[in-house]
Amino acid sequence: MSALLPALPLLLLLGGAACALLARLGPQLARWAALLSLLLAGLLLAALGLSFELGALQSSAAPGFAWRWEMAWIPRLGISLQLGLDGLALLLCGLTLLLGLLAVLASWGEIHERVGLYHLCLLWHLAGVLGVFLALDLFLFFVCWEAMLVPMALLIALWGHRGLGGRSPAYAAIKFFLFTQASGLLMLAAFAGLAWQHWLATGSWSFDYFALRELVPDPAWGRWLMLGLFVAFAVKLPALGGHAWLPDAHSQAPTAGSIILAGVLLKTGAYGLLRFALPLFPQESAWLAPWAMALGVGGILYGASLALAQSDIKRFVAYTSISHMGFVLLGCYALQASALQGVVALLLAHGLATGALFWLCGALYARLHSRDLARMGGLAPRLPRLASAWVFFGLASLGLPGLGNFVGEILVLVGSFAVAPLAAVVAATGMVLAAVYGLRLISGVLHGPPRELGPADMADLRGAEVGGLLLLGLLLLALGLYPQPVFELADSAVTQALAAGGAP
Amino acid sequence: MAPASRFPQRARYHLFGFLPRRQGRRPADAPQAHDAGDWRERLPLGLLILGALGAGFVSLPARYSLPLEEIPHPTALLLAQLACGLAGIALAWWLYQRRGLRDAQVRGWRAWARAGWGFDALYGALLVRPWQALAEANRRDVVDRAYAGLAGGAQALHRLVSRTQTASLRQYAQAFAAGLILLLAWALWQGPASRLASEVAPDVDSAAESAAGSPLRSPGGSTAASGPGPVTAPGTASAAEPSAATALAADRDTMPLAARGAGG
Amino acid sequence: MTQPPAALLDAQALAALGPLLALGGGCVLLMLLIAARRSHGLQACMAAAVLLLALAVTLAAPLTPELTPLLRFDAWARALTLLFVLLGLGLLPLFRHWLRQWPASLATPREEAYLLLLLAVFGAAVLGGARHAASLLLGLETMTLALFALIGYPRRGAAALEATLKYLLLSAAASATLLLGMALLYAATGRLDFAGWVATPAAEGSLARAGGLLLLGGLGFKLSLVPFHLWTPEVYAGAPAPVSATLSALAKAAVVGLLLRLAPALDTSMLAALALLSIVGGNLLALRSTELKRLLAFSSIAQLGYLLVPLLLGGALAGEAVWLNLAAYGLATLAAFALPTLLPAPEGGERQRLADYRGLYAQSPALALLLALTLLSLAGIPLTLGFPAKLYVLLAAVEAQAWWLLGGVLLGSAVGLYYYLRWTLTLFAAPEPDEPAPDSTASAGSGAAPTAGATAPATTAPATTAPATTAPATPWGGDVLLLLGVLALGLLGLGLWPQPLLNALTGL
Repeated sequence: MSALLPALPLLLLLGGAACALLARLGPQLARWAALLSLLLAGLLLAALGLSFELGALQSSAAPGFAWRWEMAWIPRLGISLQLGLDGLALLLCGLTLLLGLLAVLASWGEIHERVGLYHLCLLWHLAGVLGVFLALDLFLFFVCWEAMLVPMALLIALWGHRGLGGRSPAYAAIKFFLFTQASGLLMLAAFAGLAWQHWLATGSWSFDYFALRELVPDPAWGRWLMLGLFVAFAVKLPALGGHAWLPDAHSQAPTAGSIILAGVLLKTGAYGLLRFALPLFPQESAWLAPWAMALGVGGILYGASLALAQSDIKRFVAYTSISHMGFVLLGCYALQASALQGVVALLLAHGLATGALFWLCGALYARLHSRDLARMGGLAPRLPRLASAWVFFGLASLGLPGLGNFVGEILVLVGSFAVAPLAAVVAATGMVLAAVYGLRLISGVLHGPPRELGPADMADLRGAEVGGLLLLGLLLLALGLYPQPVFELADSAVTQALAAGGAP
Repeated sequence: MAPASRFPQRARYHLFGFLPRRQGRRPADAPQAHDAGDWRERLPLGLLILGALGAGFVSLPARYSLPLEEIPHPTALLLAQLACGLAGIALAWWLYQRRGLRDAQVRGWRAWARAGWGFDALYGALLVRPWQALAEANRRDVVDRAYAGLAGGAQALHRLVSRTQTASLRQYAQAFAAGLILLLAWALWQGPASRLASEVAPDVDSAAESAAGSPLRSPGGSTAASGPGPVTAPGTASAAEPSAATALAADRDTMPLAARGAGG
Repeated sequence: MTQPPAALLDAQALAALGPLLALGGGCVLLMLLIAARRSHGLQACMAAAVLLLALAVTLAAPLTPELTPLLRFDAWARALTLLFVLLGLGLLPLFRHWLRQWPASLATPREEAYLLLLLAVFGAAVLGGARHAASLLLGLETMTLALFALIGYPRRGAAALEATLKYLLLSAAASATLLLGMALLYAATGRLDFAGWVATPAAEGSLARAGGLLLLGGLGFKLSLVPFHLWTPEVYAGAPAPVSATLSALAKAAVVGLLLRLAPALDTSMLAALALLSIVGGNLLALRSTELKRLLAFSSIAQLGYLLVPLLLGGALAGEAVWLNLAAYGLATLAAFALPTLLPAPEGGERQRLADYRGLYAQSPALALLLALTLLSLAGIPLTLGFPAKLYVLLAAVEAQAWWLLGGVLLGSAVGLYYYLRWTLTLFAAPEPDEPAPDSTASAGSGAAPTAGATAPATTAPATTAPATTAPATPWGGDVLLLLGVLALGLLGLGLWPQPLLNALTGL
């Protein structure tokens, strides 16, 4: 079974290549090939997930990892191809594949040029993301981390839209790439530093996750190494200050790109914090916690306030993501089990809700050829299905109880209240602001007097779109009403993140 | 709505008065919050209402639940609470239904009460307007501006250094000479040489012996020391961990060149 | 100090001299061949045969550390010779393709180019085995003189002639500096062999210091480290692309090999300063460069800066780091210069401008992918050979706790990402330019700075839009295809699986 792990990203890599080749015969073939390879990967993941034993191998060196696969790669530096699947990785991989499927569906009617290359980029990006979630070797993690960026940059640059002030999509792509890669370089330096510490301690280089987790880095360097990791993850998350790439990238990417960016890519930052930054540097994380929480709270308020001032709907949704990711950062550095569980739930819920919102943004743009909120309005009677979906996911995004986001946010608040009441209180006002921007988003698009935007006979959402959105909605409801399975799956990762005694 | 205020009145309207009001109280062009009476919109809302009710049954696992203790709650108190709430709703409904007075005639405390005891205005002045102003002022995202400034700075630097590419041979030669002069000035200013090579020199012979009999670092001869690298900047080696320092030292010793000193 | 072996060359020494004999004999052979019969194809074949022979001999030659007073053939010399011969073999198809398009109208015959290339390889190999000032100078000048002739090979091209003149004059100045440095070192130490410079305690003192620094200045010119780099973009842009590749890959690798030997005699803090300046300066200069060869010139400045970091720091991984970076740099440089060689520009001549490369993927996917791979490798993106190389640099810097250099490398790489990605995206962009103004106007003045007349060919006339999909004028030979395959395999394959290469390097 473990040998199936590398097949997950490999399937997507091969699928991507197949798309590029098949597109010569016809674009439709490429789309089907993409869909098929994602479905196959999904089946594979389901097979792995169904035979998943919770609490597997609790006593072993790799607690929680039901499946592990390893192969020598660069022994000179103690680097191996090592993949592992635990509950957290399973959840996030599932989210990735699901949103990947929807992204392919969303581009079905949107992308007509160079379909093969497009799906190649999409699938290879997703393969990189899967690699990030599965990698248990720091070097491999970094390889996947960076490898997923190039295809995404291409997606944005080649199939993107013009942005604020007529900026070219290449601008957004390069900005995205620069932010994430440059911060990634810091992470690489930090990994190099960790390997060096391991070399000093044992005389051999190692990038092995478990070996490095045992290592207690020299306190003189530990903080710097941890900060290198933190910066990389905080930019990807993004936390306040590192977020400047996000609105441009999200708003200028094609619909599928936005879905993947918001739904999946942001999760890699949080995943990095949970999987690497916290367990590898428990003491240092405790030291950083107050600052990181302040940054998180700042992000909540900052994102919410900027969202209100946007007139481009995709930029609007992008800034709400910043606000939500503030909750994630707050929850991560509360260093409480409940907060971390909330983070996991929030990650999933945000992926589903925001992915759906971006999909709807794309659907709106396809009909109106505009993303300008000031020119929209009164669409509810014209596009009833789209309107219902818009209301539902808008409410989900603002944290309506009963839907997934609420569970995550409330747990984060509860968890952080225990250690930093002030931060939790200020963050809670963020939920109020979320209501403000959420309702503005809903009513600004749907309500008010009808405008002349778009053709008179706009088609409402089609069957496949409705189906996909319905699936997302049901998952959000399930997550909101019965999040227990998620908690159980994420439990081992959460325990590991705190096991090293970071909790104050 | 004044064009200057890009910030939505609607949002405030929803925040502090989500309930629909009578049509007559609205300006004609005001946004209509609930005019989309399609069932397709009502259905999810209805579902959501059910969901919201159901959220109370969310079963958090015991270890993640709120740290609440059992609080004693006398039944009479609970009932009184309930009654208060119901009475309030009833009163509100009654007042709402009366419509006896036109807006203009409402004066005094009634007007104040009708205006929500001024809470709307209070919130508006204290929270909403400042927040609006802040958001509006920062619409272009000051952080983004900062990064844009950074990028602009890099480009300015690029233009600056590009000016040196004049294609004039004379200037290139001058620059070459200037570079050399800088190097020499550095040499004079620096005083005693910072080369470690000279420190290594005395034990060149011993190094030659220590390098496993071969002047070359034969493959596998010393795995820890494989660099050519002669020197770390002064002082850094001393700060290194012992093992690193010894590795560096060993490395220096096994320089093929240094080791070859005897053969020169 | 032991005296040089008085005996005549014994059999082993003769065998150890084999690579140099093969290369030198090959040069003579090629010269004679030209005298006997001019034939382009034959000449190319002979050059390839000589290089292959040299390759075999190099692999077979016994390691002889003390070959002659001037030369040695140790593991490093062998590795360097191998590298140079392989680079020569890689350059050969590019030369052949370039010369096959040689206009008959040109008075210059084309056969001599192979001779010059072989001479450059020979000079580099001498440098690789040098252990004495005399052999240093001999090797360096043999190589450089061959390069002069190559840069100006198309004698009609004003750009090439200007480049030759610049390189000639400045290089002469650099050589003079080098000689003065040697003289000062001789005055200070009384020795002319490297070991003497490194080992003599008398090396203390300002005379020796100044000598070492002048030496560094001269070598810094050849490596185009930052204060001495000004010639680079114009010479690269003016010379024919295969010759630029020779300059960039072969000549620099040879000087790096020399630096490996001389590093202990040089002022490390100065070397560190030069490395930092090169990293920052090279990347800044390349930032908005809009001509491929200029971009490669600037980026090579920065790459050499990265390469110097492990070289000057030393440490457990430094050796591998230098070698790995050399390999990555050599491969990437060859691949990058292959593009302008193999792709004729729509308006004739070489394809230089960024706009010429727009939408290359649509016209020639394989070449576009190769160039993208090269650029990503230079940027140090994972899955390419550039990434392990970059990681090794970081590891070496961390290990030596050289935080300033580490910071410089990180900063430089971050800046570098911009222009590498910009070029990569351009390759895949839609063929018709949908962005009219901002790029071309902003960068025409910067990257292609006010260069004298002919060196900036067409930046002022961006009127031509989409590069027409012209089939290459001359079809590629099998050698070119083989080269492209090997380059792609090297960059990608070794990037994915660097262990075999590391195994070979750890032995050094």
